[in-house]
Amino acid sequence: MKKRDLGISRLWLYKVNRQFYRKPFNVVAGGFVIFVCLLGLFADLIASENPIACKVDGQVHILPAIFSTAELVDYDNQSLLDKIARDGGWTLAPPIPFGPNQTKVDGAIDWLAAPSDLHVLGTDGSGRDVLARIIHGARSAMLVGLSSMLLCTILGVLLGALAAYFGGFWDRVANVGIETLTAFPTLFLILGIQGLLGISSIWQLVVIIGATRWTDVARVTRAEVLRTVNEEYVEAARALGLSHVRILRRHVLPAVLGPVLVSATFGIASAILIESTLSFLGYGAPPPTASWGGLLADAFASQRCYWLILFPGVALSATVLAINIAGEGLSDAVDVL
Amino acid sequence: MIGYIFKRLGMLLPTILGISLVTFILINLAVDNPDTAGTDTTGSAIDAETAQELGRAYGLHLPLFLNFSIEDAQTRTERNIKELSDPFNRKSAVRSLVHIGGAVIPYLLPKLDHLKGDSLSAALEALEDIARSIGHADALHNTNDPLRFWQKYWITYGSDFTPVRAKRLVRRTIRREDRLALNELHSLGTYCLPQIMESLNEALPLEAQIRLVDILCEITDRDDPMSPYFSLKQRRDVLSRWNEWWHQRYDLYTSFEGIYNVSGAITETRYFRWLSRVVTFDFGVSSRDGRPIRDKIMERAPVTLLLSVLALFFAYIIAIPLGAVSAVKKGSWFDRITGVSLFVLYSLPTFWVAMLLLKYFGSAGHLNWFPSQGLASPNLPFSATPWDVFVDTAHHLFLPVLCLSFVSLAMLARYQRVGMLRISEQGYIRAAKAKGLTDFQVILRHGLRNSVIPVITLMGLQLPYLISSSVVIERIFGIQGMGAETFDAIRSSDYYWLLAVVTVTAVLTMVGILASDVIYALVDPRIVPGRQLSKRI
Repeated sequence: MKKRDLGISRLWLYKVNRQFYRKPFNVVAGGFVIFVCLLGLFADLIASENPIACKVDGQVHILPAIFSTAELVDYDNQSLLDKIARDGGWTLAPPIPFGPNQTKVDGAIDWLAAPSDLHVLGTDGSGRDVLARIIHGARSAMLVGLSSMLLCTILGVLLGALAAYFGGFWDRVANVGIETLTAFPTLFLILGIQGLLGISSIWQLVVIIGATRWTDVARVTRAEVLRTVNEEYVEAARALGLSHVRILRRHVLPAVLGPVLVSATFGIASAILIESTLSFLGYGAPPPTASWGGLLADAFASQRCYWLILFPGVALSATVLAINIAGEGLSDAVDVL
Repeated sequence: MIGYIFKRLGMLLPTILGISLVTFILINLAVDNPDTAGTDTTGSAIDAETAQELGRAYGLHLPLFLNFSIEDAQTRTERNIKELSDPFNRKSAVRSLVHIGGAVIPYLLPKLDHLKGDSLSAALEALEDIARSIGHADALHNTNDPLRFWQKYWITYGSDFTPVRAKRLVRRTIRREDRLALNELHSLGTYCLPQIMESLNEALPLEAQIRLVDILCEITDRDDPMSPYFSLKQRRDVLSRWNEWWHQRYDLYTSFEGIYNVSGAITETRYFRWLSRVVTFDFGVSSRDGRPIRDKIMERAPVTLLLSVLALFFAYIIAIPLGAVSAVKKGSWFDRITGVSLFVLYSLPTFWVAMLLLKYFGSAGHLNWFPSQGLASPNLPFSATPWDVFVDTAHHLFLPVLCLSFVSLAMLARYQRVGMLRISEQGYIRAAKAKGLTDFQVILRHGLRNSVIPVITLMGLQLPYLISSSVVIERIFGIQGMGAETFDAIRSSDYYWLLAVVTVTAVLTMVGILASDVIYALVDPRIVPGRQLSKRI
């Protein structure tokens, strides 16, 4: 029994995968989403004020930012190059040799600089490199998007499935909960909670979004479970005397996986939009954290700089678009099966 | 049909309960979290004093749904007198007696003879503070036996402490400048507050209002007087501040009588307080500018609603034909291109588009086609005709409405397309074609009209989205609506506005969803019997 279940869900995943990759559009979108995730994951290696590896004063440092900061704390990539030119040695700088919060390059502040060879996408109002901040912004966006949606999915699937499976009173309670949360304008509610609690960390934002946005997933799960509980195989499972937990886990939930996955994917996009909007209003991630919305807020403060408006906005829109395309492709793939 | 509408209305009640719960959680978050004040850089967390006030305003000291031990001035005083004998609670009991003020006198003085030792001296200590507040400090100071003083006081003035007497004094004060009545009112202290507040809300001449507010200030030590030079609006603001103050504390000073002791079990609860605020649309007074929240909402809501309704209108006007045409020409280049561009539009962040439009179409140096701030030109001449004003407003509204509508537009057009495709597979379309109608007639009369209905009902669900977006759009375009005010309110910790606006928008949205459901049912009666709640398995 156990083996066969596993086989079916694996086969299902395989089929969905094949359907999904049939369209080149989906492949590009999916690839882009993975690219942004990787960008966020390795942001510290891609854009940092410290080199990946270097040899200074006859000593080799690997990832000095993590392992040996003491000797190199005063140097950024540029001043390190000068030092190496004087004292000898070598350095392997990251592709973008600026940190997200680095305001000085070689001791000089160059704020609101237009895109140039040094700063490929220019600098912001405090002299921080825009490209470095965009790369580190990918981290905040994906962190909030993925983890808040994980929370939403857990909450939504749990509540939706329980409500639909047990029906009656609990179903009505869950329905009222969903209807209530839907009635609140999202941004007002989340802004309100952020304002009341005070901005503390990005995880707080994750929890708030997770706690308020599970309704879509719950609604989808509820509808799908309602559809499946009347299927014959569920009835057969009940006739066999299986426990509620086992029926739900083995027979009902795998069947609702597809629509939930689709809804969660769209949820990631909307969570990223919420995060950036909140950061734009100054109520997202706490200030030094790089975020696309925060960059756009800087742009709003100094409106004449096109590079501050354009590039973070493009990054944000492209990511949201890619996730939405992936969700649409997923939805088609699930529908076909 | 009527049954369905009533059933739908019945489903509204638990949702109201749900909204109250969410708001309730919000208040609790605010009140329980005073220690974070000052730790974060933006200073947005609530401070302890505001938290306490908020707790009073929303009745957080009360039980949730049922209150079987109602506390009014009398029971509170009696409890505190009992606590006087307990050395651990003595200090707090004295403080709470002093806090209640003159209203304790008719309940404390008759009991004075039964108190002994430390309790008596504590009671006298409390009374000394109260004497100061009701203007008998000198007389008390001149005696060397305070207990005897208070016994004599009760014999002489005890009969004054009745609601009827207080009411008569208030009436005299209202009628004319009566020094004697004022003095007597003052010596009743907080005991006469219910009567004063009751009269204050009647239609009174200005001088009488000023006299009453003056005596209120004197009794309560709260400095919010009314001046004869105030405008009508300022006078209303002062009155609503006093009303809010009273609303927060009336149970401290009032003695509940008769039926109220029973009905208080329901009315003196946290939930009823909240509900009475929502039903009467009274959310207190803004801590930012001391104006009643109701007035502010009335002032701001039309702006936001105008933006939202216009955005919805244009979204529908464009989306329905667009979706219909791409459904009819399914698979054509037109369909593909609109499909892709709608998808892109749907994914664009509103605030980014707003910034781009503002930069490239509304600022000097680029195409300066549209004004960038506000809803009206500051230099519009007085002689402007209504047409000029209309053109000016439309000119200002263009960019904000565009930004608000495009996401809704993209969504609605996609729904319209899907709905139209589904309809075109129906039997009656084939029948219409078979009886020889032209394509145009089939599409317009049978396809479009049927497929529009579900899309129209999405209106209710668009509302929360549009109101949400107003925060960003109003901030970027400098429009003074609910969104902009909410943003400012959060920055200056105006939690009254925040809670009010969250509640009001939620209730508004709910009513919108309800309305669109009912309209759906009216237009398309097929859905009513099909609406079944899940069956228990």
